[in-house]
Amino acid sequence: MPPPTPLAPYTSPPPTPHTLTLITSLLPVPSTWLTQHLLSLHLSSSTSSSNPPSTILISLTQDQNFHLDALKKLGIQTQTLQRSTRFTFLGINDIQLDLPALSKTVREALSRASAGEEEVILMLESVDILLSSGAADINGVMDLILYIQETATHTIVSVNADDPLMRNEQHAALVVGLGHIAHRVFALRGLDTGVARDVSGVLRVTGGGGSAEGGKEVLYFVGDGGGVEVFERGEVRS
Amino acid sequence: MSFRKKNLVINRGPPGAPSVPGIPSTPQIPKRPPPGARPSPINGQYTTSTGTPSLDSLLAGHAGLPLGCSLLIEEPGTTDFGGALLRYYAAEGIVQGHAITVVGFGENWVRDLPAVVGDAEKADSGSGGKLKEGERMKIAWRYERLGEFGSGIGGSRAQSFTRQDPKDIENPDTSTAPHAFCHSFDLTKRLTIPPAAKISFIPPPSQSLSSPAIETSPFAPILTSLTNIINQHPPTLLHRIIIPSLLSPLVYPPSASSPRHLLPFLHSLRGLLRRHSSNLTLMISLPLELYPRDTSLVRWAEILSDGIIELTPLPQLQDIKGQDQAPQGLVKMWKLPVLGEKGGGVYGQSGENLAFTVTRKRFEIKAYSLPPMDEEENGHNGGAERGKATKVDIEF
Repeated sequence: MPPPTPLAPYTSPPPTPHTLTLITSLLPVPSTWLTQHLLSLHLSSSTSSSNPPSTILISLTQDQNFHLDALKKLGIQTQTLQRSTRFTFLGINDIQLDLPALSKTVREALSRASAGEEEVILMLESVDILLSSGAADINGVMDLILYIQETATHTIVSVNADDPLMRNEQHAALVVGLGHIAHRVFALRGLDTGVARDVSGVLRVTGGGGSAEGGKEVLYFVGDGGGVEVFERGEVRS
Repeated sequence: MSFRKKNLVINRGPPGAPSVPGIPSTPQIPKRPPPGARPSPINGQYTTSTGTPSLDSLLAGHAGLPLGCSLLIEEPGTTDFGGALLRYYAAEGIVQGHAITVVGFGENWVRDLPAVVGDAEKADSGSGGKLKEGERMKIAWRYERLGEFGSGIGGSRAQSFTRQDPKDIENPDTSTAPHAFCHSFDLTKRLTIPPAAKISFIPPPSQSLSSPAIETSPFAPILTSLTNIINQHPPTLLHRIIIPSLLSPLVYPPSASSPRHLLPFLHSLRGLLRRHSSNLTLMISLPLELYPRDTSLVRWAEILSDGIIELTPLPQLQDIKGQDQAPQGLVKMWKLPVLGEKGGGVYGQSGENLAFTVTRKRFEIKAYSLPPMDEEENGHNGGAERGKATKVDIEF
């Protein structure tokens, strides 16, 4: 079993299907590690059951190697994964910043994945770039996400929530709108008290508009090699 | 740091899923690094020098700019210190025989490149650098990599690998030495560009203000030529792309600063870098005067870059004798290549302020500390001191 972390109760898949998990990140505290962490939990939890979930990872800012390398370090057998038809990865070079094209790709991937009986998990990274680059308006992006949420068993969406971006009305509306329909929200931010050598940032987990879950705040540290440690405030670490 | 397990795996999968420790994050490593590249001490990924040793050592311990990565240099105000960094980067590439592509500027830009004067490593030790040969033997070699650079941010000294190469030390003509990773340059002299140098220029977008020009992206032709150039070069040849003064109204039409044009361009550049991650690097300088950091446009440019440096020039009060080494500006690292993408902020790396000094010989980034009190007073009361001096003069 993975060592228990303070985060464990919040990373299990939501009990009800068709739920959305929202991850918000800032420039100094990107969410890629959390995406990979959640993904690895989904992938490894499936090895015990007979029907592993189909996984679709769509990243608008990262390439395949970046995520696969990290997953490898988290103990996922990526080679098996890549051969498997149950795993679809679309990275920065597979997708253009174009809503009709993206939504066609997503629909195809989803229909392929949901052909079987197993659960479908879809992760969509940095979807907000569609909005900012003028490739889509907020309705288009929301429609796409709602479609994904309805079709996939679990949907995980990450967006950038930096102040300069949130000043843009459309961007703020997207992030807040997603927060309202989300079952769970992971918000990453820097340490309020300044910089620290052994803390990369703060992770706040709250129930989104779609749930009555309580909240939790933990600290995390990303090491040189990319290994991540999650711990409570004031916890003595080795 | 040497005693920490590099392959530490946190949150392993269940025991059923065997973890794969110790696999470097680069998928395949050819036998020998291409010229001008060397493996990163952190993860073995190949890196290339930015032409500025102290900048190399700031890049999250990689001791160079990892291939497939981009560096965004931001600068408020009207100065062009970032341009100096770009010129070192270009000059280093030419000296190493890399392909160079300059976007938005013509041949004039390359004519101003600084001349190579030798190997940066030896320039350091030779010109009374902090470590003399004899002293160097006393400390373990692995600490040597860490040492000297006062800022403590990068962890790894840029010099490490090439310094120990005996061939390098014997061969004084370092401009042709095969293993030199980073050279030192003289800003006052011009680099003679070898005829075989693979330099390409992509002209700036047309400044036409007619309505179709506003609708179509001014970056589309740049991207097309860039892709063509990349495809013409063999994949083993390292290639440096340089975009000086992005969005400067002198070079780019007003429509370039529209997010619907700039963002797809930067996104495609990022895609290109990822696709050609074994030979491509990119450096962009972005003047912040018209587009400050807290605009969503610049924030997106930052999100789409691998590393971000901000150079904030300090007001130069007056030229005071003996203050040649006074820093000309402050350096802020907002994002570090590779590590920044993984989620480790610059927070974990530095607690110190950094400043840069440009002299005739070099662009140097070092820890910034306020000068000792008396010196500071001299600095502040420069006028008063001069007043005193004149008083003395009068008495004479």
